[in-house]
Amino acid sequence: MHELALLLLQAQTTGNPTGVGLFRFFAGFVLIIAIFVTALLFTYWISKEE
Amino acid sequence: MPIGDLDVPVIGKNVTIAVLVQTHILIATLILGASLIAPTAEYLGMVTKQPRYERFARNLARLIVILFATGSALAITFVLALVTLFPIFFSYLQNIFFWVFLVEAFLFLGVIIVLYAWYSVWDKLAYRKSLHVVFGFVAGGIGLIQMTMINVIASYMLTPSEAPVTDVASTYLNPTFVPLNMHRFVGNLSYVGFLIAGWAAWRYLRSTGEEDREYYDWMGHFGLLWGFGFLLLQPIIGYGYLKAIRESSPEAFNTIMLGDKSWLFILLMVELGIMGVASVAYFLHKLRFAVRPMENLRKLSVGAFALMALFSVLNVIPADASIVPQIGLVFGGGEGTQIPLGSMYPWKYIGLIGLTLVGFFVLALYLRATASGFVWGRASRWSQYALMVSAVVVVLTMVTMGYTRETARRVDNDPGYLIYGCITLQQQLTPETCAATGLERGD
Repeated sequence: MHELALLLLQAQTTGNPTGVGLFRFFAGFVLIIAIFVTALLFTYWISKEE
Repeated sequence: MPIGDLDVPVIGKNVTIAVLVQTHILIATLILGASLIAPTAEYLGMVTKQPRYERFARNLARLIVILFATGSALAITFVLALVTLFPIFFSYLQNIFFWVFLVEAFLFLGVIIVLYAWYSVWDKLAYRKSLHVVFGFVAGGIGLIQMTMINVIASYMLTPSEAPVTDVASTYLNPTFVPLNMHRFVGNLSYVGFLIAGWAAWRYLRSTGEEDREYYDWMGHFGLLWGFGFLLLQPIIGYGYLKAIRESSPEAFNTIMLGDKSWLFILLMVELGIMGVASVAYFLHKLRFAVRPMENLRKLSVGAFALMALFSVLNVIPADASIVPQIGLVFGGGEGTQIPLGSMYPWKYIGLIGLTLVGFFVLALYLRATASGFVWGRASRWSQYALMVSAVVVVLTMVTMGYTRETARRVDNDPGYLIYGCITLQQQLTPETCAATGLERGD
């Protein structure tokens, strides 16, 4: 059981990115999706009456 | 005159460029794929005399025309950001790719003229349909050449040619130029196909009129044929693309396939698996509504579905317990703990080949049923959810692929490169490691 628990523990962070780097990665992803979805919603809104 | 080293607060300048480019690509790819699919649908409508093709083509053309402004605005903002945040790099880029940028600018003008003319003369050319279809294909063709020009730059940044930078032909035909073009051409059609299917599913679920339900049910089927059909070519083209990267930029290949960022390949396989399984599940469901009952085809498709799921699972098994080291997702002995069935050779090769073959098999069965027709407007909610899931996942796949190619140039960040081996992320020239020659002379 103890071995299993050890196996499931996260052992190391070999990539060693900084916290700021991780934040920027996810912030970038959220921004990409947000801008893309907004562009599509805008396109739908402006053309739905036609 | 000194050049300022500007940065962007909070997200930094690298992410700023990534956000602008990725959103631009998501929209530009949608426009390009749609401007090839719409005239094809218009042509099919002309040949088959089925009005739904015409309705579909015209609506898609309207989407392109409206979305074009947003895509262009993002492109201009991106170029402005690149000039502002990476001025030295951009000046080298301009030196190497002067002709490419020049052609790109004129193509922009060309595509605007033809695309908008194609949409605006839709009614005027109602009795000269062939000419109008040609108009549409010319617009799509110009867009395609535009993509080719951008691919020259994108591929060169990862795999610069071993030639003087003034050698236009060698620069143009750099090692990954052809595979990247094939990959993106096929990807455009697949991406737009899945988006069309997802949108149709959403509209189908919200439609109350019988005519609309039939139309959107058909539209989901039509979109998925493009999406899934072209997706099946990607493992083959992707293999060629990765092989070209390995041969010309081996460290970049190692980063994304064997190194700390190999989780990107697993993520891609997860996305591919979801799209594959969702598509086959949809086909399976749709076969129940074939005009002529095809029980044997359905039984064969059930087997294909099971195989598709099996191969997808085989593809997503990581090679070792170091799953995503960047966020600490490392178990046991990390890279030292090998996971059974996780290695690239032979398991992922078997998985990818199996997935492709099963995909072609089930697509052939489905097309066989399509030839005799379906009863439209009777699809279940779950089949539409499968289409919507595929549409969401295809967007995530595009973002994953974009990040993968760009991050490959970072290698170990010691240093990361803007042009692999030639210009670092800090915009310093490194002629000693650069495959191309003459960059430092500025000639």
